[in-house]
Amino acid sequence: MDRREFLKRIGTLSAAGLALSAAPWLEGCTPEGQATIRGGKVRFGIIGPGSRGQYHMRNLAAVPQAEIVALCDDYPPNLEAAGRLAPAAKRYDDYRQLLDDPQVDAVIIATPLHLHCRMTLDALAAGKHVLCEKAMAYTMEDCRTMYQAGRRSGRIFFVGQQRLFDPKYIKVMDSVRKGEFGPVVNVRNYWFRNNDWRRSVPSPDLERRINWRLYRAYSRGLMTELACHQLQNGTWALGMLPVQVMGAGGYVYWKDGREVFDSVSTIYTFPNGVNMTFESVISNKHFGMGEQILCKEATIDLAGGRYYSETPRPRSGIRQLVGEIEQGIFSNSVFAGTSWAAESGSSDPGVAVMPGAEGDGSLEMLEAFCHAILTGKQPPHVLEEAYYGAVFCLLGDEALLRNEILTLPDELRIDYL
Amino acid sequence: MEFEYSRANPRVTVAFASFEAMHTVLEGVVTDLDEPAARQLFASIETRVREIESRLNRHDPASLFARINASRGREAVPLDEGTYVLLQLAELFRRTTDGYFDLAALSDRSVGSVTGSGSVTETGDMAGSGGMAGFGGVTGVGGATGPEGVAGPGDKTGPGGATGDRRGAASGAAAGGKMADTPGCVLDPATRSVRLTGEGVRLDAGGFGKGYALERIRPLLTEAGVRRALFNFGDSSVMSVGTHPLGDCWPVGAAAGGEPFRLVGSSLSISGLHPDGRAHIVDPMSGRWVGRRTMVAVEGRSAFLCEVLSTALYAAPEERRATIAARFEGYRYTEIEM
Repeated sequence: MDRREFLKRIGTLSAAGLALSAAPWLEGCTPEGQATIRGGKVRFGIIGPGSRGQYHMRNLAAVPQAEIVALCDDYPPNLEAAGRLAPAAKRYDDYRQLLDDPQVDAVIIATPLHLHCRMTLDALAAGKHVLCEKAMAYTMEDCRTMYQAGRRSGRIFFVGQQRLFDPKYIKVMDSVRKGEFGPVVNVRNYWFRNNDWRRSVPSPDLERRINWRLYRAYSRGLMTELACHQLQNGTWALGMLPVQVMGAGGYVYWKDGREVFDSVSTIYTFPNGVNMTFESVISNKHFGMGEQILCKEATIDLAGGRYYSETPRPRSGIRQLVGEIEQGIFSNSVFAGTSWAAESGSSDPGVAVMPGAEGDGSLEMLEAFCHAILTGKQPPHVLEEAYYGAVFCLLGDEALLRNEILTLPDELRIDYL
Repeated sequence: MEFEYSRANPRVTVAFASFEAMHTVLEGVVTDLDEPAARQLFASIETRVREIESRLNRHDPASLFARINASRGREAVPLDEGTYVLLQLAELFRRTTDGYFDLAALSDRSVGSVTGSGSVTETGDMAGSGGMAGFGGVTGVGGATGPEGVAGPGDKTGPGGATGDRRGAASGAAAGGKMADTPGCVLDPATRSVRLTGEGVRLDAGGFGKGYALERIRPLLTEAGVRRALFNFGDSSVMSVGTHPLGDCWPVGAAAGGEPFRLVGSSLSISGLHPDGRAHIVDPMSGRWVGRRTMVAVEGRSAFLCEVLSTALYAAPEERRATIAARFEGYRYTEIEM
């Protein structure tokens, strides 16, 4: 992807002249983009202000154009907690009442997965702009329905794929697509935890509502709650869609009545033969979360924001002496040890993709969302990336359930890539 | 080569250069040279190190060491003067370290009984061989002394006092590998050549190459008029000239901790496990990798001798280190817990 394509991809057509080396992300996030919407205001309603919803609320507080005017949750403790973050916001316990509120311009939907489709369709029908949390929907068909409705609605429709807005990802993906690290040979995604993935439940009758992620009626488990963060990496890096997915899932440790796997391993294969894996285990956390693009000449650690050359440049033990002598400093140089050898690749500290970069793209995503609403322009590619990100999570889950190698049905393809 | 030159401090100019060599990186800081002279100096240094690497890198099929190893002891391999002297010194150091420094330590182990296991002497005159100087005093065992006073033929015996028998050792080891207490090769001064003592013998510069290269750099520094410099070869071999321009030494700390070494024209070598925990030094007696977690640091005048001695002391049993080290006057060793 060259810079021009990149600009198109993330909706910054008018910003082709911006200093991308300094700020290579959405037009709406740049000073120029922000200037175009100065004084504008987007009034938000938050549907489902639980932990994720409140995270968005805290980020919205840093967006000058955003104002939270309404909150909705049918679980009173969440509504109370969210109300403390936005005391002036009206409170609802039925999202349809919030959608009827003419003071609400846009909604953030951060509810359990099985509710995404219905709430999004209703919100778009009510004329609201929508930012729905990922994964997009519970089924691939629902994703398609939402995508089509969003395109028809004339409203702005984002899905919370914040990595698309993370400057580190954007910068390194630009380099990957330009072949600066050599051809992509593999993509690895994993997410390891060591806990039961449960939330505390004040009353047994709330178990399924609060721990909805563990029950198949509401969630597709690790594939929709964790893989959805990561599976777009392959498509983004390679500029193509996987042709098949296979995998296996099971109940390895947490055999506590949950209905979604506690261990999954999937392999997605692209047309050029490159494989992308997603693995998740929640009974061992040693490797944590990782997203890696393996190229012929370097390994990119997307989550860590660093890349590692296959032929790392030797580090220096005494180079700092130059600076010290320049400044008249006489100090102890600590470097001596046993032989450092170039082949000790594991000790290579790597190179920061964007030194000093902070955040995960969530704030930039909200800035871009506001910018899109105020300028009336749905950024291209954002919705398409989210669609396929979700669809391939769901196709992977189907492969696990059926224990088959699956390909994407033609009827679920959209005009993208 | 990466080169950097700074005049930012009006009292002292500083040049830095680094380049990859011997599977790691050599870097140096030199002060008080003008930029063209500094560039020329580092270019000369790189040329010299490349030349040494081209001889000693056994992984390069075109290198002299690779050709010696490929001969499998079936024929003598002619040597240049520098390598001939180097192998003489290596044998001297093998004996003065009771065999714990052995450039043939990576050889296949000998199979079956081997006769003639007494220390094999090289057959010619080591005196006047030139090349390396300034090691300081090495008190040899069995009468061998340092390079500045190398004893003549017939005057060098092994640690046990056994007189070598070239034919016996060569014929015995030729069936396979190498006995622990025999040299891996014998030198012939008449033809200035070397012959391995067994098919499985392999010469390897891993235990001394960086220090040797640093020592061969020192004359270039002297010729260029350098009075203050610090060179670091892969962190494990360090050589200084004079002192830091702003202090009374070049203070060099070990990454593992402890008091810094205060180098004043001296050198430092550290041997132990690789930073990633891999063992890379072989005990010549057992043929096994040494996995000891205590590093050995040796400080003294010669970078070459420092590396030889740190390699040997790391491989040697604890109870023998002091005895071995005492033979190397002017060199002190320190053990560092990793």
